[in-house]
Amino acid sequence: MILFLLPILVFLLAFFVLPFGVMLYESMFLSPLLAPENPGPTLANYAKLLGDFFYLKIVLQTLALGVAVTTLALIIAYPVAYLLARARSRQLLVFLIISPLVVSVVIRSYGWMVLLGRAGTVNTLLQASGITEAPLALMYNWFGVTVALTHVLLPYMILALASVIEGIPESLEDTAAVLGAGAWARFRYVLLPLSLEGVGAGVTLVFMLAIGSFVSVLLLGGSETLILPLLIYQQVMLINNNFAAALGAALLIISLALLYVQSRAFRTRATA
Amino acid sequence: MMAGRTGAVLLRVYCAAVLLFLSLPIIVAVGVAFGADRIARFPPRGFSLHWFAAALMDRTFMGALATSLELATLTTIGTILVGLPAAVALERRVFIGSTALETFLLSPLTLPGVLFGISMLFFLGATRWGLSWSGLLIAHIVIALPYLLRTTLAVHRGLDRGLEEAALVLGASPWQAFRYVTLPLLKPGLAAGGLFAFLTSFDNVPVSIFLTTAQTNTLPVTIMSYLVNQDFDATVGAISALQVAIVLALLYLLDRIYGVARLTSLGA
Amino acid sequence: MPIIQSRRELLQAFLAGSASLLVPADRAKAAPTNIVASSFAGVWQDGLKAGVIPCYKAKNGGDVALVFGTPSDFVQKIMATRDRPAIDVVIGTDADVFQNAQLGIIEKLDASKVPNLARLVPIFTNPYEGWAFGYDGGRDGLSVNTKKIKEVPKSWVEFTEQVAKGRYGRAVMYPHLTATDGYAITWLINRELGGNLNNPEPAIKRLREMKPYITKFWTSNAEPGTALTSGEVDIAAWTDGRTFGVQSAGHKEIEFFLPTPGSPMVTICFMKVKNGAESGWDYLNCAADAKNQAAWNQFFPGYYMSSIDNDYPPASREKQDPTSLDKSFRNWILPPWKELARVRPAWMELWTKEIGA
Repeated sequence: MILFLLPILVFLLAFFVLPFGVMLYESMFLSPLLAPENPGPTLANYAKLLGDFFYLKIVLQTLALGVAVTTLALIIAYPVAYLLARARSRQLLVFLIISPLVVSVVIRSYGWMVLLGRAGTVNTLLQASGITEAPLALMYNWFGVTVALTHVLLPYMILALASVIEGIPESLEDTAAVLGAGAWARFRYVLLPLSLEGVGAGVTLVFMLAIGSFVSVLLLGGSETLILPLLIYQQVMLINNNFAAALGAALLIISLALLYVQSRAFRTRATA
Repeated sequence: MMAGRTGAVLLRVYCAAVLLFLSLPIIVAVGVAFGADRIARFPPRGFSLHWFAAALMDRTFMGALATSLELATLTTIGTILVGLPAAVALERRVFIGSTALETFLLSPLTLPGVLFGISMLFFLGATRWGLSWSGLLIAHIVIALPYLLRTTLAVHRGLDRGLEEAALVLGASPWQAFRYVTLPLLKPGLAAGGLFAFLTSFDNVPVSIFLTTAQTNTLPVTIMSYLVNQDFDATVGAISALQVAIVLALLYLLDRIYGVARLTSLGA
Repeated sequence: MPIIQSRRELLQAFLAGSASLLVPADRAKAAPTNIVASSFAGVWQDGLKAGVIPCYKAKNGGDVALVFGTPSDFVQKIMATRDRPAIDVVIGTDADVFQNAQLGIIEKLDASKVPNLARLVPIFTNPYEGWAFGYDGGRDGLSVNTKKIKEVPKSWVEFTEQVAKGRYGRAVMYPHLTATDGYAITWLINRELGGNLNNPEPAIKRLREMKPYITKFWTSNAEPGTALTSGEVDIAAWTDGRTFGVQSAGHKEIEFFLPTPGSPMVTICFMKVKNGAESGWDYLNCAADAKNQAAWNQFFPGYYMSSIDNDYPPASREKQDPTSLDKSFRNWILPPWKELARVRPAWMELWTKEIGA
């Protein structure tokens, strides 16, 4: 069985650990733009990161965004995943579900501007129906970022859930129904426990993607929506790969810790 | 899940609303391609297929589309080849520290694309591998692997190991048991993971932008570069419409050849 | 990358040494060479294919392969492949020139190998101290929806005051500091408000007052166009050429205004990559040629080209700045790019903390 693991281990060691290792090594130097006379290894990048409350705030903002998007996605996705898993003809459903992933983010964000903009569809409808008087700020802020990220990450959640729900025999639900379980009880005591693996998979994918992506945030966020990956991108733009790597190390450590805790939690619950 | 008819109707209405939420921004943006105006305008004014003709005749965009399609296809195949054995192995035996191992295998998901992109770039430079098609493909496989692992593992964990044991007891060889019992059971996870792998590659900007060459300009990178000097216009809209059509066609083909919809249903 | 770099330098010296023994330098130069040049996709490359690239083919016999992207990823690619660079001739913004020089990835232009350099307008060469030449000039100014805004601010300072007062509501776009236009405009406003290179506070303070009314600090040059035409914003600090593009697509209500004291000079620069193919010089000479620039200019009417020998068709002339047509260049302000490259990290850090993403 170890043999089966060999290809992926070699592959990831060579093409993920090693390349990022080189980057991490770089994080112990100053950018050649900041220090043309290379003063040698230093922990300055990490000192800057840890010594400034500003960066801690950004880390917390990043995590909060991840939690918000993941929670929303899970709640919105579950019923859809259920319907998909039990549907007979899935082609069109799958297509509609993955549609956000098909086109480039630049194009999606144009769609959002038409819908959520100052003169957009939603504001026009709200104003026409007299619910609001002035247009609401629905994008270029945390609201817009949350909507856009939830939108683009929902497909991951739905498909991850559906692939597991599919494996739960419908007969179990029928049996529960015959035994008098209502819809909520069947969800709570039959479906949910049996689909926990799917919840785990979906939550992991969506959370990691939510705290690691920046293009949607760059295009749909505003000045307050500063998150870690965006900061990393800016540093790369400014050719300060060294500080970018230090920021990346911070994000990696947080993510890996969360991933480990999550895997353990779901594993114990699933085998319990 | 819902007993009453109202429950079923409610579920359907809810799902329709979510599907609308998912597809509306895309419909809006792609709709731009059918308008007469060059700069994106919604709702489109007039109707014209001119921009599709323009896009189809644009050799740069068409070349980039072909590159991206090829790259996404190879990424999917590569990801399954590297990832599937690992998913099976991970589940067969609970290794000591297998949670840690699993965490490690999923770790490419935790690194922002930009950072992995430049890491790979400097790695390819330092090893004198250089920027190449193979480097780009490998990078895409690395970022696609976690999706496949996570979805197949999730499905695999939910499986009844008894089925496989039963097959073995009934005289099947381990290979037969895998081929005829385990693999079909894994298919939903594989299909979901494979789809993610394809789409991850097809739409990637942050990693690709650091690894493309004159021979491997991908579509998303080309669009990004196009926008440095031009507006989001109907030609880009038309290209996106083509992307949508291609994925739709792929799903249809996959269903025809592979029968995803029927084969994946485990339904007793 | 200290260790790798030194090892690389060793290897490089060794390779260079052995190569010089084997191949006479002149012969290596004469052979037709395929080179890699960076470009933007779309009409930018269409323009190159109309003049610069055929010129290179005719002169050298080799071909030009174009790699698409944005200036910062071009730089990263070259840095990672220093001794055998992935790109031979690179384009970038003004802000990139001295940064690239400091990173040691470009070499100074050799006037004997690029004879056309002598025929360039000085403001397209002098600021770069021999590291690059400017190709096309665009002006930064105010792109305004004239149906919504009747009184257009006369000066940059007035613009900032009006925005800060909420005159235009929350319907304003201003470039982010990571965009070169943002850096140039912010530098100019800072200077007008009494700041200097080491003291960006005046501009940052004003921007903080403007922030509640700024819909978005744009980072992609494609953002203001869609925002202006869709009614998302009514006024944006943007460039003239892009505004003309929007106009020619039918949005006549969007007009370009140049506030006083003028526009910071912003151009796309051509640079020769260190260790890149020798025949990159031929390509650079083709790019500095008036005829090839005119061919490119047909795709971007309204841009001013750097060759002094350029003449412009009437349609292009009427969109251009009068002071560049009479060659007095009074409306152009040259930002001190060399010093700006030096203080950029500090400005950026202040911006991130005070203004945000």
